[in-house]
Amino acid sequence: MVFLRVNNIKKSFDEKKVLDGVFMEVYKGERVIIKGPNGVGKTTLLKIIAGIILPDEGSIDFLVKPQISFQFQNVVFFPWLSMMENLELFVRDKEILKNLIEYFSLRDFFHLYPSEISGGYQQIFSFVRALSIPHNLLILDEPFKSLDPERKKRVKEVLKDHLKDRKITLLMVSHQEEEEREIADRIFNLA
Amino acid sequence: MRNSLLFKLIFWISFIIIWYLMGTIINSNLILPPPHKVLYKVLDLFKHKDFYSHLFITFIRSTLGLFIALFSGFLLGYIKNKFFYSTIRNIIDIFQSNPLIVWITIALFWFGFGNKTIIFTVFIVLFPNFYLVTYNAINNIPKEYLELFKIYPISRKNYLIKFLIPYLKPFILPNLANSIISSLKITAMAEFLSGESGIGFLLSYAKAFLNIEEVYAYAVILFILSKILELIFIKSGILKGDKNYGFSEG
Repeated sequence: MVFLRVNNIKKSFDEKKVLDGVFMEVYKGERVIIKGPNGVGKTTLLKIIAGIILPDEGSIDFLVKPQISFQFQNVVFFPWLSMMENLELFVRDKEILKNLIEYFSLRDFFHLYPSEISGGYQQIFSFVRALSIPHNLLILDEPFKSLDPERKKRVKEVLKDHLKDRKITLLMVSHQEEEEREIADRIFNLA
Repeated sequence: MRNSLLFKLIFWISFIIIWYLMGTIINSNLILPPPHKVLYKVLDLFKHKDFYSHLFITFIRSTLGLFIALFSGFLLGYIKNKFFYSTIRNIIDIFQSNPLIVWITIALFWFGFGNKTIIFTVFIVLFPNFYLVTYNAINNIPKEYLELFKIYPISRKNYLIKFLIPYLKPFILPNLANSIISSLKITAMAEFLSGESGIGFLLSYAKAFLNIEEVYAYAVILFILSKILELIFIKSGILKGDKNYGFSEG
């Protein structure tokens, strides 16, 4: 069953063409990794699919009512809130949140502010937030970018476990072949 | 730090000595009363109950003018509409292009002597800053935050309390601290020209009766009050303040 259709999406920024007629079809529960060199418009395509930015031409047709969760490439937390407050502001699914916090041993970081924790931990918190918000379409923009090999392995395990038995559609930008092998059902090359 | 304190001490001692010497040379209480007489007058003023009620009235007026300017600046600055912004910007230009004395005179015709004219004067001086700071801050919310809210919408209450107010705080607080200090001075000036009570009114009364020691005493009191407020905001970290007066800490 088709989940969404990307129809002839075109997008330019300051007259620079970023996306020039993209067509794509994603099935319900499918795990698609979007690949391509830097600046080819992978993040732009994800943001258009999520409705964050509008295309110049074309449309995104959802055949299933989407519930979207998005992990941004650049980690976004409010610097005046502690990590706990940052999560609580958006997270609805406390059960998933609780399990992930235990799994990643994040409790010690709860009272700290974003500027007081490393980029790697911020990335994990961002991943935890994305998974703890109810969704049937999970969009991850380079989720393993600042992680060391050990944490990367654990995040991947959690992601695979999360997707297993759930009919969640995954769109993920990645540059790593191992992720393509381990997670993807299909690779979409944007080059 | 020590240099700075020493400089301040030397400056104030020299200032008082020069004041005293000039007062002695001029030898006219009408032009420059000596510092000790002004000090006695300051102490004397604090003995009178009336003085406290005038001081209180000045504080109330400056606080009211300040809060009306703050809340209207915040509420109107929140409206994201180019035409509305242009309208308010033009009104601000009208406010700012005329000297304050013109507005006080016009306000006297509108509101008569007393509270309304004084509060209006404080408002027209302080409102532009609050409005422009709020409007610019709201229109420059980082793109990343806006994108986050598009994906994960939150309640209006949470948006206001957990996002908007803390986000605006660093923009508004220094402005607010400066405005509190300014509002006291503007209130005293408006009271001088259009008041029937308050420190500014006492000042105009003293001037009318050529009670020059008292005029100087009010100047000293207003200076000290402004400095106390400034110090409070510097200590609380809201205002940076030029603590060194040109001397380096190192």
